[in-house]
Amino acid sequence: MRKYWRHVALAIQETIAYRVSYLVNMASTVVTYAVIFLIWNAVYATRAEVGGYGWTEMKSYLVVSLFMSALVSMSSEFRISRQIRTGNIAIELLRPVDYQKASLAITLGNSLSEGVLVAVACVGFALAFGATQGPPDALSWLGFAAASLVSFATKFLLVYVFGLVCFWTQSLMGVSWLRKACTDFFSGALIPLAFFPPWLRSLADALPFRAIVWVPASAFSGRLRGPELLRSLALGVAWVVALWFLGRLVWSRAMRKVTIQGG
Amino acid sequence: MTRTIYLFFRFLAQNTKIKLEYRLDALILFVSGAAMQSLGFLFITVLFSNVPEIHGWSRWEIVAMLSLIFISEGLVSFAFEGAWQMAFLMNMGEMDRLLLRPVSPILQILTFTMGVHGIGNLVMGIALFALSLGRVGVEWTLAKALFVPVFIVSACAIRVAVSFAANCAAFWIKSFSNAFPLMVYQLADFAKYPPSVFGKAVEFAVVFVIPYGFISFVPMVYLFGKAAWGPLAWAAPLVALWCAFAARAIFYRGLRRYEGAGN
Repeated sequence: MRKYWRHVALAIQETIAYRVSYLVNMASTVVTYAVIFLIWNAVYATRAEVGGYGWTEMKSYLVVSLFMSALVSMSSEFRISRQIRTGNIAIELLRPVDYQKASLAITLGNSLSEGVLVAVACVGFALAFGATQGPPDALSWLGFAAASLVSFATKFLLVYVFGLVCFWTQSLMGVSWLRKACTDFFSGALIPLAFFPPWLRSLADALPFRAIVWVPASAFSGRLRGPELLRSLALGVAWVVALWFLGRLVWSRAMRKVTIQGG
Repeated sequence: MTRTIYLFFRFLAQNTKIKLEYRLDALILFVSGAAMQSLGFLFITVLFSNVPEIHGWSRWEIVAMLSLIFISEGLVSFAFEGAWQMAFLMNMGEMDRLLLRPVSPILQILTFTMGVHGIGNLVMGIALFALSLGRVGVEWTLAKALFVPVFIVSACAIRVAVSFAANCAAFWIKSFSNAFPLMVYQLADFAKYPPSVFGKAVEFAVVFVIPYGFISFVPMVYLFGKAAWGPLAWAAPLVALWCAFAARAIFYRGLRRYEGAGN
């Protein structure tokens, strides 16, 4: 266990060392959210509520969404693909650590350090635009905290599994764009799932992405609470377990592939 | 000039052959290009199923705008994806090789590679444009019909010039990262919606500073007869020329600083 905590610590140091590149990467996420924020702003200019959401709740939703989306940055995806493409994965294989757990530890380290920055940005954003509607009670805070953990685990595992696809494809771009587009849309990052027409909503509910933004953001606003929240969390945990084993499966298949190409 | 055009098509053909060597990769890129744009369309669909119009623009008018962005984006990624390789070319010393050849370095850089995802974007863009034209009543005149090809070419030229100029940042920022040009590219998100949504400052910026307004918004105002100043859209080729000259100037300025990646 200690060696994985060491990975976490190293990842934190690494983020601090390369903070400028992280900030520049953050800038494009911020642009995306600025566009979405202004569109909603224009929508709410002429009406008090849309789909049961008032402007204040929507602003809080977007802030939580920004926080969740920025929590796991693209860097882990690129790290895995780079190691595979450059062949450095061979060195990783020589190390006496489990690659999946080590990747989790590094992503956790990145998120812990970057998360501080993101949280500061989000609080600043919330204060500047009057999105001050926090969780209604302590239980909602607890639900939000639990949902954030599930969100982190889900996003890491999706990034990890999609990153491993690089063993079969030449470049990561297509796969990574696809994952990002699906995540942004089906997680409810840009538009709450409550707004989806029924057929699209059932599709979104059947996919793991909802745990990334929709569940924590709804727990935060107190919209999702009690047994309903518990059900969503349990479903999220089930997905995390399933994706964890999917990661194992893809990895073991990939290892066979590597042996074939190796030499 | 004839030689440049001849070489352009030769390079494009060769790049296409290279990409088709990796069938699975090409397929994934094509699908991801189309899927990303479909998700953009779904976003608009969901948004407008809750709101009838935004700032006087209806659902299909926005879809038309979006589809034009996809068309130019697709054509540009297909033919001129090389702009995104500049940081790579410089860091790997490949640039030296290009500079030694008796062919314009700009042509060689732009056609260094091609993006299969561009075809996916293009296909999706054309489909959505046709679909939205069916829903929005356009009063066609000969001038408007002639205008369509003119502005598609101009839009592509503007995008190539802006991406190319942004990627020239590699001359100044000596890093492998594409973060700065990506951010500039991301600003095109603002061009996907009528700029009045974003306020005067952004409206000014997308029309005059980085003229993304001319790749979709201004032409749409003209086609749909949204405002009396619509015919100003005919300025698009001039804007494109201006962008091209500016990008060329930035490139040669950067080139003067270039010192090779030699050892």
